[in-house]
Amino acid sequence: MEALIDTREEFQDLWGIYLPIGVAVAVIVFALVFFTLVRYRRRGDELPRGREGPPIVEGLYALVLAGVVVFLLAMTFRTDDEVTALSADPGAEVDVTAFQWGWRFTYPGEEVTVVGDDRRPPTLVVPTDTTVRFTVESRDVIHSFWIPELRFKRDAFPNREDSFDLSFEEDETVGRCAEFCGLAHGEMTFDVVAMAETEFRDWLETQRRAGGIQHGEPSS
Amino acid sequence: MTVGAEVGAGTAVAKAPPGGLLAWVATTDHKRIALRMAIVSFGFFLIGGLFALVMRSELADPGIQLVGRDTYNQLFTMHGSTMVFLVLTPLALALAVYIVPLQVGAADIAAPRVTLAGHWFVVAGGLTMYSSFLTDHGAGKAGWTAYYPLSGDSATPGTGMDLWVIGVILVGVGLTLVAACLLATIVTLRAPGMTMLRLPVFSWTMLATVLMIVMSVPVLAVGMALLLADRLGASIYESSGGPIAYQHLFWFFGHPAVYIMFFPYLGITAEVVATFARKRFTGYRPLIVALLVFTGLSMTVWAHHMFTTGQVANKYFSLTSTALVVAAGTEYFAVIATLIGGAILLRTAMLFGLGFFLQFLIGGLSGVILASPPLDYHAHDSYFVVAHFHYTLFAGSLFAGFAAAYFWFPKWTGAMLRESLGRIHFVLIVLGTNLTFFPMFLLGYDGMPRRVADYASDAGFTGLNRLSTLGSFLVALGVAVFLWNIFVSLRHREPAGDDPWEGHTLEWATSSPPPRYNFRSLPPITSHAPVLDRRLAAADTAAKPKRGRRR
Amino acid sequence: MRVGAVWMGGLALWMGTLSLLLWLWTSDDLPPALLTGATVALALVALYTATRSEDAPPTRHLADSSLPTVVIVFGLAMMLNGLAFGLFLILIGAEVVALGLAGLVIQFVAERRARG
Repeated sequence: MEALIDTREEFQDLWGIYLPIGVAVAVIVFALVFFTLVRYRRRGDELPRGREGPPIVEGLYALVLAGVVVFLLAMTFRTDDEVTALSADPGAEVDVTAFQWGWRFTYPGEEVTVVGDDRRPPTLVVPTDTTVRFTVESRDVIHSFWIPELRFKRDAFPNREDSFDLSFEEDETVGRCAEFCGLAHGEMTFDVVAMAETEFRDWLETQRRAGGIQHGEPSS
Repeated sequence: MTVGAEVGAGTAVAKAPPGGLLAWVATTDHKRIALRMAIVSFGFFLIGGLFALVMRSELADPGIQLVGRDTYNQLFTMHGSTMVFLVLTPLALALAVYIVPLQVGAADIAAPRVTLAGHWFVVAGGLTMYSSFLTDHGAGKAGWTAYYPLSGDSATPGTGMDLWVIGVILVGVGLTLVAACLLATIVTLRAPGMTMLRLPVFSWTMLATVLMIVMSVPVLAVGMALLLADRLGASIYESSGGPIAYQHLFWFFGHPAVYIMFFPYLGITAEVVATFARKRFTGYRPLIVALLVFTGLSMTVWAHHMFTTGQVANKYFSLTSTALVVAAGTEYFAVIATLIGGAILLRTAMLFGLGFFLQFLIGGLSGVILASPPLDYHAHDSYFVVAHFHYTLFAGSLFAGFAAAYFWFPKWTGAMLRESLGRIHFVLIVLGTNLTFFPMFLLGYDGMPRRVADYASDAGFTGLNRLSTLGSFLVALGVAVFLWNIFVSLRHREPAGDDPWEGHTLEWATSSPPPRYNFRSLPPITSHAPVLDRRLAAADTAAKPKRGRRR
Repeated sequence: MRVGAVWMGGLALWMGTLSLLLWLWTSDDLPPALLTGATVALALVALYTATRSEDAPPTRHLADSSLPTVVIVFGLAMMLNGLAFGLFLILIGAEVVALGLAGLVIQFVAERRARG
């Protein structure tokens, strides 16, 4: 039984490596510079005569940096494999069509579609505690499907489908378009509601009985 | 039409420069061309900055208050295009066009007419881009990146967008021509004795820069020409592989572009730091190696702008992008090594140079984060990226641009800029810059996308946006002080003399401003800091008058 | 042989290595093709530099100003703008370019005469 993909946790773990290293480097460099400004400030007419030997220190230092790079890349590559992995058996599927300026969520095989636009944002309903397979495509220009809470986005291209997996905890959050797509780019949001598997199945059934399409037709 | 005197690389001919407006417009004197380029760039900076203030005013509160969404989209497009195509790149080239021929001991730049043409192509491109505001549909509005299909004629119809594309092509031609002249100058017009390993640091950074321009800008021109053709009816990017192909063509230029906007400013900082530490630039050879390694790598990282497309080899581009740390770190080491053991004087130029050094670091470190695809899957196209590139380009490069102004203004005009006003300028702009851009890291992390005219009142973005807007007005105040400084310093001139800072490189071995053909004579070229060498030798001779020994 | 060519050649080798790595790493052709193209362009510049004479820079005969150059640039800019505005602007621009070229030719002739 494969572990459930958790893009948020993967991000936070990797962030927890990169951020402290970045902050430490910044602190060290700032401190060094301020130290030199005090220690080596001009006091009189002195003419420093810097002497340059063979670049041993620079060489060692470059090796240390290279080591840090290798470490960061190893962490990054491992996380990237986790986050872009496609499960053999997703628990639910959603086909996402982005358009100017809204979203269409279709549940393949379930005969349910949810559509919304910048005036009436759609709601993406998903089950918790299982892998949800997303396949994104655009109907016009490039858009990008971003759920900040899950720390993940993927671009939606015209005439091209792209797939990725996400998992959700019982929660309500928001999704946004993250690729500039014209006038209402900033208003192209969607709500995300995650509910337990059984409730999700009930919800699908309710939609099917109501005719299969929720919200109005997309603005064109 | 006049025919000028014959000039050798190191000789000078005393000749009064032609006067009159016409001569200014068409002069082949690299110094005048450069000053004109710099003034034009600065003018565009003020306009682009004004756009930024309008955008920040709109974003201070949720809801549309000042400008509608369509206007906002034109503003951010033109702000970005202006800053990249019409300010930071041409300004860097302008500084090089003035200083590089002097630093290598030449009488003029190589192919001055081509340099002249290049400058006017950039101006023509800028005018074309801005004329788009006067069209029915308004100015270019697909972002400075103009991704297809958004930049196509069905998603963004109108002549304005066509003119934007044409403007970019014209600017690209201009930048390439100027770069070619600088390349020829560095490679063929160095004074006798100036080997490649005695080239000053700024000239080395310019060599790397112009090589990147020559390799990458033609690709931009091709990509844009194809976009124009597509808009005018041809079917170029319309296939399913079209949009991603456009992004490759764009970013293959677009990434080196940001290093084109970094290296010159690193070079300026290196010169300024060495001069005000009163010590020759330390770690010269490792810096050169790092610079060249960086240049090669910088051509190979571009698809890190495309991690979220799912259509590029993310790991390769993550590897090359992160590897830049080694080269950049080496360059940073050299600057710190120059400070250590120096005799540091904190003149305004030095303050801005150090400002570049420390603030660019913040931008660069955030870049290391963005070079990791899993981290980029969250941060891409959010305000985190906006913070990253403003820290590198504004808090970084532009600060070094101010350093260059304070450092070389005496050489260009023969007058000193006021130190008192300079310090006020520095304090205001450092505070303003960090107040404007640091909150953006947090906004991006919290989920605010970029390129949005507005945000919901319940999104939690309001407070940080207000801080950012406040900061932007402090920045504007700082820039105003700088303008005032220029005005006052030219009005009531404080004579600078040849070498007010005890400089290290050849531009300080001639008058301020230099004569038409730059040098009456050249000091011996013994290292990358020949004027410093001459000063040290004179000090040694003065210290031992009886023995009369020379170092 | 110009020493600058060696430095540029070295850079081209480094870029060639990174290009090869990309050819091997990805099945998409466009990215490595772009990188190889840039490498080749750089190598050509290096090669050209290498063939240039190492002698001291020759005395250059420079005009102090060149209005024809500016005229040509604006003529070309007009022609390019004509793609957006219409044929009339392309034609006007072409005439301006021709005017500028004529002026440039006159300038070159005058310079050669001054040299000789």
